[in-house]
Amino acid sequence: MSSQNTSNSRHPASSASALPNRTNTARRSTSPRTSTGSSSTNTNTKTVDHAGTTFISSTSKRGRSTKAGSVHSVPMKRTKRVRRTPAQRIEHENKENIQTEKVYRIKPVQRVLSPSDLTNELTILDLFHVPRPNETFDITDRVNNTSR
Amino acid sequence: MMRENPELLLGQVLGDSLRFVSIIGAGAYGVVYKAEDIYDGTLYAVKALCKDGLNEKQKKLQARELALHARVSSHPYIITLHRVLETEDAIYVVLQYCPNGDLFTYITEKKVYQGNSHLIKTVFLQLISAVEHCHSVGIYHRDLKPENIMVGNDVNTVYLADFGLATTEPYSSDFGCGSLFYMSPECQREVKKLSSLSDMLPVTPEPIESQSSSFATAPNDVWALGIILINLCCKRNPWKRACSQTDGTYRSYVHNPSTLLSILPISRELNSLLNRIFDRNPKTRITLPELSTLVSNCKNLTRRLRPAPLVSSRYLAYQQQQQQQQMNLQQGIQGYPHQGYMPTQNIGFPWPPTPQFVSNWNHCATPTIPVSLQVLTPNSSLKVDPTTPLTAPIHATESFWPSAAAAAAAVHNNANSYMPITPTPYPNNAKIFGYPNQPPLTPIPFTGFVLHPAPVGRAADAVDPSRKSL
Repeated sequence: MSSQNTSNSRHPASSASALPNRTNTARRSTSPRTSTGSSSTNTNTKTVDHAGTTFISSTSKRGRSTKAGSVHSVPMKRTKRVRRTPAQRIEHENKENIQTEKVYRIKPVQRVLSPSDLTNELTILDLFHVPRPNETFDITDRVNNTSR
Repeated sequence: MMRENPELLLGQVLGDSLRFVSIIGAGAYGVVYKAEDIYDGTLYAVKALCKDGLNEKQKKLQARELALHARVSSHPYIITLHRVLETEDAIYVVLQYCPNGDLFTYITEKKVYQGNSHLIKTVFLQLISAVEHCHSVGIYHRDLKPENIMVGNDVNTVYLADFGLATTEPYSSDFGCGSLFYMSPECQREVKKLSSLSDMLPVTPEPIESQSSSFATAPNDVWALGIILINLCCKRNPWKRACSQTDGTYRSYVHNPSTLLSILPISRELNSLLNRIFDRNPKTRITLPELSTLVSNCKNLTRRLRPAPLVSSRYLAYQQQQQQQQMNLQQGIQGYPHQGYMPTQNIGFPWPPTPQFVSNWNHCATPTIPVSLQVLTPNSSLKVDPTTPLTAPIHATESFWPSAAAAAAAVHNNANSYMPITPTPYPNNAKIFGYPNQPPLTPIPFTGFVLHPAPVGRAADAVDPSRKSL
C-alpha cells in the first residue's frame, strides 16, 4: 500500500511538469504574431451594383476601404411638362347648374375640319373663337398677331 | 358639364358616326375617349377640348397644337390626326388609336426592349425619322419623352404624339419649357441660389449659348432623343437634370465623359455616340442625319454589367495570404503536437498495473490526470456498496477535510458523500488540448477487503487503534 502511494505521488508531479508546456504552446499559438509581408499601395476601385450606382473606393495601406463619393443614374419616372408660365386654373361651373342638368347630351356638330383645313392659321384661330349672335366679330387683332 | 362628369358621354354618338366606348385618359387639357365608328368598327382616340373656361392664351396654345400636329400628321411614325369636329361647347379631335399605350409603359413594365439591341435600333430610328420630318417643315417638338410616344399594334412600331409644346421658332426664349429629365443644359436657366455645399464645389462655367437670351430648339430635341436612347437601353435616366451646379452625376460627366460607362450597362461604342449627343455646345452637337447613320452602324448598344471587386488585386492577394495563415494556425491549435500524450482508453489508470484492473493490463499508459484511490480496511461490520469508487485528495492536508458540522451533515444525508471533491490541477484539459471526452470507467471490485470510511476528525497520518494491536 505504501509503495503504491509512493508511485502514485510521483506521477502527478510529472504530469504537472508536462502540462505547463502545453499551456505555453497553446498560449503562443492562440496569439501569434504574423508579418504582413510587402505593403500595398493605395488603389482606387469602382464597383457598380445592380441599381447602376457606382461607388468609388480608396484602399489604404492597411487595406481599409473608404467611400469617396457616389455617382448614380436615376430610375425612370413619369414627368409633367413645364411651361414658362403656369396655366391659370379653370373655373368650374356653379353647382346649381350641375344639379339642374342631370343628363348631358352631345351638341350637334357644327362643322368638320380635315387636316388640310387645320393648317390654315386663321381657321384654327377661328375654331376657338365662336362668334356670338348679333355681334360683329373684328378680326383685325388676329390678323396683326398672325403677321407677327 | 362634360369636364365635371366625363362619363356622361359614354354610349353617345358624335357626328352620327362615332360612339364613345370608354375613357382612355384625362388631364388639364380635357378628356381622351376611345371611340368606335358605328359603320365600319374602326377604333379612334378622341380628345375632347372644352371651349368654356379657357383664356385667350390657352385657346391659342390649343389652336397651335392642332395646327402643328395637322401639318406633320402624314408621316408614318407620327400619330395621325384624322379630323376635327366642332360643337357649340367643345372641340373633338379624332386621332389614331394605339391600343398598346405609350413607350414609357413598355420600357418600365413590360421590358420588351431590354437587351434587344435590334429592336431598340429599329424603334429609335423611327423616332429619329419622325423628329427629322418635323424639323424639315420647321416644327420643333420640345417635349420628346417616352410618355409622348405611342406604341402601335406591334412593339416594332412607335408613333410620335402630343404637340402641346411644339413651336415653329428655331430659337426660343421659353427657358425651362419641357420635361426636366429630358431638357438640354442650354434650355435651363442658371441656378442663382446655391446651397452651402454647392458653393464649395468647383463649378465649370456653362457654354456661352446658355447665357444668351434664346436657345436653339432643334439641338434641344436631339438632346432629348439621347436621353430616350438611354431609356430604351438601360431603363434608366443618366441624371435628374443636365445642370452641373445641381446634379452631381451630370457634373461628373462633364469632367469625365466615361462616367456613363460606370453607371450604365452601355457599350463603349454607344458611349462614344452619347458623347456626341450630349455635347454641351449646341452648334457642335450631332445632327439628326448623322445620328441616324451612327445608330444604324452601331453593333452593340449594351454590355453585361459585372460588379467590380471592391478592393484592389494586391490587397486581395494579401487578404488571401492572411486567411491561409489563419487556417494554418487553426490547424496547429486543433492538432496533437505532443505525440507522447496521445489519448488512449486507459488514460487515468494507475501505473504500474494493479490486480484490481485485470482486464486492462495490456493497455496501460502513463497517467496524466488524477486517479482514484481506494481506502481498504479489514472492518467487515459496515455495509458499503462495493461498486461505488471512493476518491481521496492527491495532496491531502488538513484544509481538504470538511469541518465537523459539514461532516456530520454529510453522514446524516449520505455516508458516502462526506469526502471532499478531488481538486483537479488542470480543469477542462480536454477542451483546451482537444482530448476526447471519455466516460469514466467502472473498476472491477475486489472482494478481499471491506471498504470502510474514515472516522470523523481523524488525521490523515493517524493509525487505527485496531491496527496498533496488530
